[in-house]
Amino acid sequence: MDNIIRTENLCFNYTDDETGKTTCVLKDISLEIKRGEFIAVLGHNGSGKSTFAKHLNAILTPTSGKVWVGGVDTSDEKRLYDIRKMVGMVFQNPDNQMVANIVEDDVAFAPENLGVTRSEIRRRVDTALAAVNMSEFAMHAPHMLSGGQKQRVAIAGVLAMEPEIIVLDEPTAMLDPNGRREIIETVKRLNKEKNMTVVMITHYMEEAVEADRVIVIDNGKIEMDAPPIEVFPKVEKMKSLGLDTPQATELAFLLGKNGFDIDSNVLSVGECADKIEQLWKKVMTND
Amino acid sequence: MIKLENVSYTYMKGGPFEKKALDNINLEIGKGEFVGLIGHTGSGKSTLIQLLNGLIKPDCGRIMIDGTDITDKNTKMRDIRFKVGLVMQYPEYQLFEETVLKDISFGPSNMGLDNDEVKHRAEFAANLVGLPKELLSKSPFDLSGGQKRRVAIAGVLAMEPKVLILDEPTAGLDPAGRDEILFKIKDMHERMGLTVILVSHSMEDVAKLADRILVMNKGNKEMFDTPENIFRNSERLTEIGLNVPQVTKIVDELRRRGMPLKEGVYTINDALYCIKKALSKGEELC
Repeated sequence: MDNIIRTENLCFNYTDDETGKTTCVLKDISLEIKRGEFIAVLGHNGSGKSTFAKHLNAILTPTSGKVWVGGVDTSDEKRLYDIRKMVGMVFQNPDNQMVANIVEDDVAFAPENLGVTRSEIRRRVDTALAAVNMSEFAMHAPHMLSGGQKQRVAIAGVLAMEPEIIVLDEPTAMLDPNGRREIIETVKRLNKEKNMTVVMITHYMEEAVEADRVIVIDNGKIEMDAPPIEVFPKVEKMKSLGLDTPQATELAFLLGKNGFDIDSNVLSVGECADKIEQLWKKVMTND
Repeated sequence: MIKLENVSYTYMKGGPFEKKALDNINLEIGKGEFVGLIGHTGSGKSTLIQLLNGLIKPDCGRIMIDGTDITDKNTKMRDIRFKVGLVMQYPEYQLFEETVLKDISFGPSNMGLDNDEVKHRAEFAANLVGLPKELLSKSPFDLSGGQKRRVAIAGVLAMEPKVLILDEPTAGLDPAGRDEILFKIKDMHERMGLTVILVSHSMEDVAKLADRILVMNKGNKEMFDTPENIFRNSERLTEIGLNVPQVTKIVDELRRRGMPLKEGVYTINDALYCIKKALSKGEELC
């Protein structure tokens, strides 16, 4: 089995410089992520999910335990360059990730710094902008773009490094519903068409529903690690972790609690409507 | 409390990027009303709230706030800013003082109040947004994201405005933080009789709190009605790029399939009630 990311008993402690107090942010995290998987990471603020993401490209290294990315131990400082090339990160605020005055210059920034040849940079920039559907904006000024467009340029900038893994830390938190849709569709397409391994941290349940697997982190530990259809129907457990479930799942769950013969294994509007319609048909035939 | 008559606004008038942001808007908001303001990016909602607080002036038309015409040249904008408190997006980036209490005091201390009154107001506002006393002497930069945002809101409340406008107050917060802020806003609205305008992308959030929802589209007032009536038009809402709550879609879909369910359902509890009733009694419309 091709595990592109593997962590073993990953622990991370943070020491406050002023008080000298040590906080344990990540506790004993062991997991494997396969090449081409789309993972959503959920958890409330302060759960440790961003700290976890930062371990995937060696922005942080474990206090104890190990993280391997593409077989490389992230605590091996000599290999830092290889790890950064393998894992591209996209952050919350698109404005903080723009460095140039023209979209294509911005996308070229990373390959330029990797010492890639001029013709190869041209090829990579064009491919990356095409991959996020932003080719027609190549010569535009980034500050004139919408939030969703800016964030797609940020993703293109990461793609130009030709990484094998892309890690996104709440990429849609500052976007409106249209911008969010643009980003999720882009990420899904990269995952399906280019077999890119995706790790996406999010607060939005409707985005997590799109993933192959959902990892729920709470208080620095993995609470759940399963496909969305196994995670979200545990409505009460999710609520106790300070997380939402899709309304479709919650509605089915509540009907079940009210004594109707319905389970909460639904995520979408259609699935929920199907189950309720079945109940309705039963009522009608019994009359 | 707020009245707009034939208000229009154009950005970069006469320039190459001229853009009509608001086109002949007429509306009235009553005292103590809680209004949700929705629209996708570019719909004109941000322009609208900037007009209400006097940050920009309309091309034409009149804006009355609490009986004062703020488009009148002789109106002191200072007074309007004290009357209309605006909490911008990501307000926590605007915190700057050494302590939480000083930061909250900044607004009222600029109003020419004496020190005792400023302190009293700041402490009262901190209490309203649910900031514990022991945090007041801390640096605002040592607080969590949700706490910082509450400090910023308290800073505006301490000026005791009559109208409170909040632009995306829950953006970037996790579900628990979001519910907490929304609950506090509702609580303040009820306790202080404030007129509140809440700008949000989230239909769910707005529907839970607002008496009426104002839907903006391409510089026009698309709808302005109670949540129930707004969500009767779920197809139109989707058409203009807005997200309709998942429960509304489920109930609409079931009605299409023949279940006798009412229109305009937008909360889980309401959906649950209707579906239960339909399933237990068959024909009866709820």
